[in-house]
Amino acid sequence: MATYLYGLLLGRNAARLPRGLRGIGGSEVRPLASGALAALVATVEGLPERVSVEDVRAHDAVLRAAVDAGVTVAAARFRQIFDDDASARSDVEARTGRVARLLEDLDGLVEMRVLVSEAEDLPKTEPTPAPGHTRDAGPGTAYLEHLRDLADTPRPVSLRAALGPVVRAERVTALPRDAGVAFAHLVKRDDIDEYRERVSALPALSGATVVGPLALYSFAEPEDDGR
Amino acid sequence: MTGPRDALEEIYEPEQLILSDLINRVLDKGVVISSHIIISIADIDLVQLDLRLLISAVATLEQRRAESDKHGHLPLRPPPRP
Repeated sequence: MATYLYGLLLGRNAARLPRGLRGIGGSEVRPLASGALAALVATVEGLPERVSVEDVRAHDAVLRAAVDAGVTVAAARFRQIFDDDASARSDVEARTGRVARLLEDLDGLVEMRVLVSEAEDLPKTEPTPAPGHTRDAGPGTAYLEHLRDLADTPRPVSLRAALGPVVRAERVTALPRDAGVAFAHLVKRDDIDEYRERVSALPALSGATVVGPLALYSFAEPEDDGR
Repeated sequence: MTGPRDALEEIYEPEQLILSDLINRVLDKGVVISSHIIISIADIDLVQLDLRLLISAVATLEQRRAESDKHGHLPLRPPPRP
């Protein structure tokens, strides 16, 4: 038996978690007090080596249930397993300072995501083709190649200005296998409806998909900040 | 009217995008606490993923066609599941 970690929340918010929550393999999800935080965990018998899409969905579904109950949760990266509850508690408490400060700062906020499959849908910001890139490449390919090249530097495209102050912070990710681009936005829970309206009002995003509200995935770890 | 292939792509692409984003954020984002090995996106069997999406898209298309036959018109495109 082992303890599987789904996410972290402020301890004072644990009472708001939904009852009867089930996770991977139907395991019962429960809060585990860890200093100022609570870890969202489940006892598992062991996980198969092969990762299934169902497990990925189940991990996300647990976090979404907590968010839907009104709790701001910092998502734990997938498949973090501890020998037992005591081990999980100990490791979480060792990192309580940073995560607790993050959750205090972001309490009441959620992550929303705008998914764009074609670069032509994005607001037109023409990048300079990088050396070695073919000028004959279509604009979609050129955009995604450019985003990959700039993975460690400030991003060339942003929706933040177009969406206005409902967006508190933004992180942009090129999805694997040229699937598209994901814009992660930090949004106050009360502003979700306005956020959706602003996204739908942008002609450039007419083909985009909005996902959320979600736990904090892109904003759970520090980054060279676009906030 | 869109052909069968266009309609299939209309369903397939958003679902593919949503699933790609789900996998990317769950596997590559979030707080790291454990010192144990973290599964990377390369460990997901992506061929099986693609087949699963295709099967799901075909089933959805068939359902919409059945509804079209029943009502005499195509139903409004359902929003992709978040």
